[in-house]
Amino acid sequence: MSKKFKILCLLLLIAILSATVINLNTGFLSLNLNDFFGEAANSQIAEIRVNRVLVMLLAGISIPTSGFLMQEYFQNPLAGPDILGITSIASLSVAFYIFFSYNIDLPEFLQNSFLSLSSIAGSFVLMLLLLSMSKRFTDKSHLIIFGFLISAFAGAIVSLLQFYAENQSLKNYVLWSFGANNMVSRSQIYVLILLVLIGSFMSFKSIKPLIGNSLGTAYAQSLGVNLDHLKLFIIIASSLLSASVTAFLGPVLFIGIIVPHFCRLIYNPAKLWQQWGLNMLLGMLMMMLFSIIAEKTQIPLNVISSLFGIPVILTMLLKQNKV
Amino acid sequence: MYLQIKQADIGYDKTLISNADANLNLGEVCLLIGNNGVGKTTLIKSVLHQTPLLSGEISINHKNIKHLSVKEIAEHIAIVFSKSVIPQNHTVEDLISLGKYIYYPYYFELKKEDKKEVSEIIRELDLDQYKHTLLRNLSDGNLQKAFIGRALTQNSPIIILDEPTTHLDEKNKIIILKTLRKLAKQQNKLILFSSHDWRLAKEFADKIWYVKDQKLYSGMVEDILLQHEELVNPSLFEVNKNFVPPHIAAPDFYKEMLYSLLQKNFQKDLSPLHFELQDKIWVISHDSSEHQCESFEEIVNFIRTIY
Repeated sequence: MSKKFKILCLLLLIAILSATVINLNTGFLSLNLNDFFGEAANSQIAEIRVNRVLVMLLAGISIPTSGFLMQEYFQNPLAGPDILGITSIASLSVAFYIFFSYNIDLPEFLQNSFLSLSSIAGSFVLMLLLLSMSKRFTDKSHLIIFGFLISAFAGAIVSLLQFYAENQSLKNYVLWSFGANNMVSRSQIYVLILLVLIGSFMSFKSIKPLIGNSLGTAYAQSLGVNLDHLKLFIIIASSLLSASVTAFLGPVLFIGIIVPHFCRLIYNPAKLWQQWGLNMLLGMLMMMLFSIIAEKTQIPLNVISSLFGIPVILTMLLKQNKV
Repeated sequence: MYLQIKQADIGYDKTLISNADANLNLGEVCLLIGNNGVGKTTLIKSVLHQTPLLSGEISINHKNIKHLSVKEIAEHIAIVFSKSVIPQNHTVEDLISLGKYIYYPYYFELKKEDKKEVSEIIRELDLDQYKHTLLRNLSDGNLQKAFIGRALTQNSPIIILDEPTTHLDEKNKIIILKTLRKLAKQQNKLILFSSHDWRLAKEFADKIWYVKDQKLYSGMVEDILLQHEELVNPSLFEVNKNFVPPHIAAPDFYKEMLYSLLQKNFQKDLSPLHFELQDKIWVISHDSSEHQCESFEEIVNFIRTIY
């Protein structure tokens, strides 16, 4: 590990820690340290904030990693976690749930769980479909086209559902799609942690083959890279990482494309292990910051990430081009 | 018989080379030659087990490649393809370091000795000034040298190169071929490379694999070249048929230059002429009269006045 990388990681960790502390302090009420430990009056709010922070951190680890894997595997700078259609199918599953459960009276706490469950179930089905189709697609770009078709299909069905939906369902769905869902319970977080761990492990397994794949498939084979395994790891990692977060937080799109680019601008893009680590650190930092801003301004997360992310990347790009 | 091809049919849907029989030993340099499209790259890919054989067997160190895993093949063979994807963000050092890929379970970072080896190879290939240059900013020749460097770093017993000298100038061609021959003789490696430049290869290869008319002819360089005149036929270079050369008295190289000048420009029987080089001036004897020319241009103009 070069010195520059160690310093970079240290700075990011300090920034994440500071942002986390600020985030825990952000909200309608001002809390003090007692509220977080022990049974004080505002403990429940403290717990909600801790949950929020945990979800944001997990999202920061997952979504950029998923985007990073997609960009490296398909050698496409515009690829994002949604390129295989996972987020679209997750949205479709949620839409189905919202629009068809309108007449069913479910208690509040279950509602949220079923929502996430339907999202994960839908994404899981798609992941299995992708794994079985991937054997037939020897050309990588066909996989992208397949993902595009899935997204188009999902989008069409969602539009149809929205067209015929009741007003309240419509609003619920739209709010979900803004990424505004902050209310993730502690037990849901445990599920999320498990899925993110498995996804991260799969992404860990795919880094070395990705490095071997950088010269193309002919060279990859000659270096002993098992291309079928690589495809498997990439599909599972990307699906799990983006589907799990989408299920609990709604679609978080922008971060998945932008953070990997940001990481390439601040450190050698050829070093994939370092890029993998940086994506997680920078992802956590950005989600923390955006979450703080979203809390303060009460503007949905996806809107914040677009509004703030774009000018930041633009300035970095312009600075690079000057040199 | 480290690398052995036994009664193999090589090709995709249809056979490109049928019933091929050839073998190579460690320490040998072999040139693979044949016209475009005849199946050289397919042969190479078959040895790598990236293209399945239609029939027959290829074995490395007496083991059938069908029974070798991708990793085991990687440990035995380092390859340089003629074309490849150029990674956007890699420098020359990154590319050449990839040769060490198979020796690390995770390839986090190179050990000190490996980093040193990479630097040495970069220096040997005369790429020191491009060490930190992005691959996409390199000239074709330097890029080719970098890919060759990657294969050298892999340190496998067999090195296969598909047209490694296409983009290289004479000086670099010789550097590469000398390095390959040194590797074969000093480190006991098996080198197989394909090229259209049989002349240069003649100086550096021990054996030839010649692919023609769906057959593979293998043997010592000198034997095969003598048996297959079409490979070395100088008449291929004749631009016109009616040319009969004059008598030329001059050192070999001057003679060769004058010969090619005359046969390019004149479709005539020039045998009545006699050329002699005296002190850097050409003396042309014609019809018992003499004429002096200082430059080749003058010679061409003079002959035009005669005929």
